[in-house]
Amino acid sequence: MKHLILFTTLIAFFFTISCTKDAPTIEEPALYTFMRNGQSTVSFTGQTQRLLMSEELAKSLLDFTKSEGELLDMFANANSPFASQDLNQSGKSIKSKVAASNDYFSTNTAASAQVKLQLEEWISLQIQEIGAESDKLAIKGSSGQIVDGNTVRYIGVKGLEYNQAVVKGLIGALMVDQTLNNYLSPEVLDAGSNKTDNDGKITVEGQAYTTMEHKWDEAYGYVFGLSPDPSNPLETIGTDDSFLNKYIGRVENDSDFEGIARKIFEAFKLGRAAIVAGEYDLRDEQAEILRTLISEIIGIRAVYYLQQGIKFLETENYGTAFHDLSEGFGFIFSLQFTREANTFEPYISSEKVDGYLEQLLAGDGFWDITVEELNDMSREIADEFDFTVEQAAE
Amino acid sequence: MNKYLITILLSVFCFTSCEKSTSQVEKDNFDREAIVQNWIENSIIKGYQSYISTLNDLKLAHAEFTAGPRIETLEKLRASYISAYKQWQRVSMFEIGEAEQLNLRSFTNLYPSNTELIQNHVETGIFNLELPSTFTAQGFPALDYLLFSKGAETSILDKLQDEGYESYLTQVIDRMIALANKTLNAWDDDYQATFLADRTSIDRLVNDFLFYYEKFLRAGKVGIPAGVFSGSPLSGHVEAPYSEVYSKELLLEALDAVVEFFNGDSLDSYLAYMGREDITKDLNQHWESAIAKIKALDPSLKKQVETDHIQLLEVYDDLQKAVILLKVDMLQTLSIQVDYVDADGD
Repeated sequence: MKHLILFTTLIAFFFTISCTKDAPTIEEPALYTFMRNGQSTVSFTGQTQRLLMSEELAKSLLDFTKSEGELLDMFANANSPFASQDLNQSGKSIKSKVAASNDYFSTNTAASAQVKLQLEEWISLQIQEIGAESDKLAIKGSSGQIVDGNTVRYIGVKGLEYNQAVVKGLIGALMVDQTLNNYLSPEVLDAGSNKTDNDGKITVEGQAYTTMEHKWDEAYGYVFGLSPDPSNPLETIGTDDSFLNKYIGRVENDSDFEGIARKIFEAFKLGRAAIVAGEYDLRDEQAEILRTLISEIIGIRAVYYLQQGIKFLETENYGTAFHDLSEGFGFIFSLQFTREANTFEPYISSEKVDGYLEQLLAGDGFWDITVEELNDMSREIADEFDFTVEQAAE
Repeated sequence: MNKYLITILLSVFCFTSCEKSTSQVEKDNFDREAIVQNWIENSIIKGYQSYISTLNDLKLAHAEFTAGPRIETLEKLRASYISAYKQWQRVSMFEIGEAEQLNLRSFTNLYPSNTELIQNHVETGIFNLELPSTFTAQGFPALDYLLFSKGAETSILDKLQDEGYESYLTQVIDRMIALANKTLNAWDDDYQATFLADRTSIDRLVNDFLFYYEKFLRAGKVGIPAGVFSGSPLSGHVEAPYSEVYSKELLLEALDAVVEFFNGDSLDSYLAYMGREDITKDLNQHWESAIAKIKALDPSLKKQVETDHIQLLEVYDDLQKAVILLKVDMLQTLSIQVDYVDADGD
């Protein structure tokens, strides 16, 4: 241990020496607060709106008085589907930004369309397969209600809660994809005259921010857009939405990963400060850190839920097991939108993801999946990341 | 300067120092079977027998009321409801085996009740009480609403003479009896022998006891209405809010059952065998203190929460101190692992 400290100190010393020379002069605020001429330059209303739409859709999926058409309208923001007129008239929708990132999908529109269709299919099945049977008890081979502790869950014929597939699937297809593969992408940040505008502090007409600043903030908005104080979001992390924010909070609460929420926040903040300072290498380093950390959130939760599912399958507590497997199913779907740092690749390819999902639903689905299969899946996923199954499991 | 460098260094330190110790403690030679046997005979079997007998009284009282709906028969019906509810407090913790399979606790006492759904069941006569979506439309919380809330009617007497109410009450009571009988019958000689022979039985039973104590007694009866988890009190979340005046009595009964389960050829003896009488002493002190504080409360915890919720928070604090002693000190001493985690909540 002593050697290690000495070694670390030496490394630190070297770093300090080598960094002093060309250390950028960055003014990094303590909170995510950036101003120009006394005005805040931080803005991400579009992200907040899409998070709110997703929240309303998530709730409505379990309201069986809603029709399939009404739910699909929420997905596409058609026919004024939301309670809020602001959302209805926003001109924005969940669907248009699903699997729609620059880096993964701009020349891959067929794949993008497949993802959209997949989510729509799950939304439809929630009504067609479950809604019609929601007043029956589920048994192997037929959909309906099942008990999870004090709660009632609604499962399809394979044991899958389609609402969970949709909600956890959106975390990847909307939030992670837009954040990691779109707004943090140099191609987006530096598009057009963004760099020269940012260097010259030329702001968007009628706004206090430069386009590049705004793009970065839009990434930030998908993570912290529903925080009551987005400048200081760690205060409430995990409680602000049902999506990425929530699960960053969950992973943070696992002592194996304590500190990950702060690391994510700090990387966003330093990257933004780097943009203000015109230090684009430093900005891109932060983007790579975010890719690693946010991808890890998805990987950890996928493995966590598979392991929880195993635990409850072993005690024949099917309702709770299926609920965990349903959440895991959605997180596995989301793995295809993760991003390995310094590459253009996800940690798990979409082909691999499709294989896992198929395996989970083969035959009678969750009713006859084996502990061995789930353990193999967990290990294969964890092997692609820097954590172990054991670390993710509790 | 270089703030991010410091963060990286700090995280290097963290990663190297976060090893976990996984030492396994050797199990002791205490006669675990003896206390499990005691629990089966005296707490579980006798508990369910008494519970079923009070439910049968309740059914009888309802029949008497139906035959002659008067204030006297109504009062008798209500009295038998509260006796059964109190007896339930003594078996609610044993959600194991058949009870667990049946989801006995959720079907018997999940509250707050869904009065809209109850009303719908009464009016349409169309319902299936076996569905988990009807948890909160049956059991004691439904009885509490049916027997004590007059709704739009001028009096409870008028209301209960309505055919819809009469029939729904009958079905709710019959279902409670059926579930309780199924649970007791499952504890037959064979199952008892298997349960006794299974070395993990004590671990599971102790875990179920703790889970009940933590989630349903400490949180459900006290913490949630007192506002521990929401920041502000939730008077509608007390147990038995429509009859109002029994909520304190039910809490006292439940806590008494916990104290009784723990003491007397039970976990107290085991702790003494391990030389940790101090844990027993501290636990009993916290419980005595909680009981004294509960006795000083208004009979209606709803009223109590509305006038002064701090007093209920003080009860919660005593109950919480016991959680730590039970879950950490006791379980470590007895080499029992916690087998439940906080629910994900979504």
